[in-house]
Amino acid sequence: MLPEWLAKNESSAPGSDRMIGTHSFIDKTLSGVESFFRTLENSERFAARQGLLQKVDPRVKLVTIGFIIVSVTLTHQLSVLGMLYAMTLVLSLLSRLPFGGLLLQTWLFVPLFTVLMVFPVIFGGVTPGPALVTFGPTRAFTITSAGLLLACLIVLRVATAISWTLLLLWTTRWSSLFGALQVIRVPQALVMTLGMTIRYLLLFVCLVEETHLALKSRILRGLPRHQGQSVLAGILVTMFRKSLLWSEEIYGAMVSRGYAGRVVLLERRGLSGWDGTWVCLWMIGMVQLWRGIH
Amino acid sequence: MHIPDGYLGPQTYGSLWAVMIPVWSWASRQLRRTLAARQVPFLAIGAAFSFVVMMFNIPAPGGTTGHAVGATLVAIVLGPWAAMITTSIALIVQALLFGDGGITAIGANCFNMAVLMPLSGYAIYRLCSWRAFRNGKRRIWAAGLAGYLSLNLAALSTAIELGVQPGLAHRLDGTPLYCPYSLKVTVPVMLTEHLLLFGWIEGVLTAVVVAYLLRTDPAVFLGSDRS
Repeated sequence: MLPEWLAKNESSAPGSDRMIGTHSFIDKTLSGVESFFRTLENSERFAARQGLLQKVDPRVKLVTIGFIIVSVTLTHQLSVLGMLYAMTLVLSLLSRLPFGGLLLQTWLFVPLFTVLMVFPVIFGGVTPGPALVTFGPTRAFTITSAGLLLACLIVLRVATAISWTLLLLWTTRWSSLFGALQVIRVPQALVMTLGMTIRYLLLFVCLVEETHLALKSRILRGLPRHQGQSVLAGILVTMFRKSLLWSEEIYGAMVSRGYAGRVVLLERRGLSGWDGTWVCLWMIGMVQLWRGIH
Repeated sequence: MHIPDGYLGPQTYGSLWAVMIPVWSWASRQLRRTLAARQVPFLAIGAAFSFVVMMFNIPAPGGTTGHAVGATLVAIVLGPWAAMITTSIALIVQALLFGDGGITAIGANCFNMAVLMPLSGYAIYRLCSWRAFRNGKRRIWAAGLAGYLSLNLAALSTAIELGVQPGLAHRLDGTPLYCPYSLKVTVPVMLTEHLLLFGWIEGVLTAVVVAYLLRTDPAVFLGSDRS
């Protein structure tokens, strides 16, 4: 037989209006954790495939794609942006990346916000110009050609930049990507710190997942807001203490392995003929691109 | 508050990269003086902690939830220089690994969330908790206020960066080329949501964690109080 407190309808429980229903904050954090692991796993899986961009040296890829992203932000012609975007689709196929996944990631998530943000821009009240369509009860709303062009320009620019960024992230292992930062004169200590951050981030995120799952399994009803906040404070403080402890232990482990404050990265790789071919193609593309921009 | 690529023109993101490079170098020098060889593991773990703070969903009034940035909290417990570097690393990892925030906008995002926020938050906390007892309630209120105000300051800075775009980059006929809204739109929109919701989430997170630490381990504050 169910105990009285469990049999009681949650909505009629005293103070239930202040409860956080269906563990919302726990579920949302767990969903964030799942998305974190999925992103890392996908990126490692795609980077291991035998595709065109995967064969390019991470340093070359970082510099060339970095330049392309900067060029995307400087481009104000829809045709040039359209061409740059089409190139990401072709490259994703040649790099054996999931075509649908790239489209979904580019057009569904981040630009959804951009589309919503630029939506008012298409109307004559925000962007004056020749009217394309007039509608509404008193024909009060006008979509202008200048507004539509501006909205398309902003959305396509953001989508193209995201698409190129995803190509870089999905075809490069994170350890190689951070190592490649040295080519743009990022100090070795920072490169090493970034690498270590990812390793211990995985440990921290596992800890977040475990504590939230444990919390969820122990809570049958929602938690009052204040209690939820204080539980989270407890988890964060525990993690903070662990982080101080780990920092000391890791430093001790590094010293015992010969670390004296100087960082030496092991990954050294020469450039191949394939990298040369990619750079030549990139240079031809950039010349055409800059001709298009100016 | 993470600005993606394409919203800011090159004048803005270029200037903020130019501001951030000496700021990182200076903060790093400040830390090297105190941490020496311990710097790398301390910063790596601190950055992982900063990243994780941003992952937490915090229950807010009205049954809703939201993310906090946590930069002020990190500044209060680890010190402002450490917070600047660790939050920057967390934001760089977010941009380079998860595409959260644009690559060209890393300078702007770090300026808003890793410089303005921890520095202003730490200054407000120290000012409001000046001569407060180590376990005094004033420290908790000071932490909450610092979290709330510093996030709103970061939101204001983001709104200004976005709102100046139509004036900085436009066609001859005045059509903007980047973020199309002026300061008259961006400032009220950004500040309304941060003053009414996200600021409270940041303030509550900072206050409850500081309260918990003061109750269980006040010695943690010794390091940041000295810096």
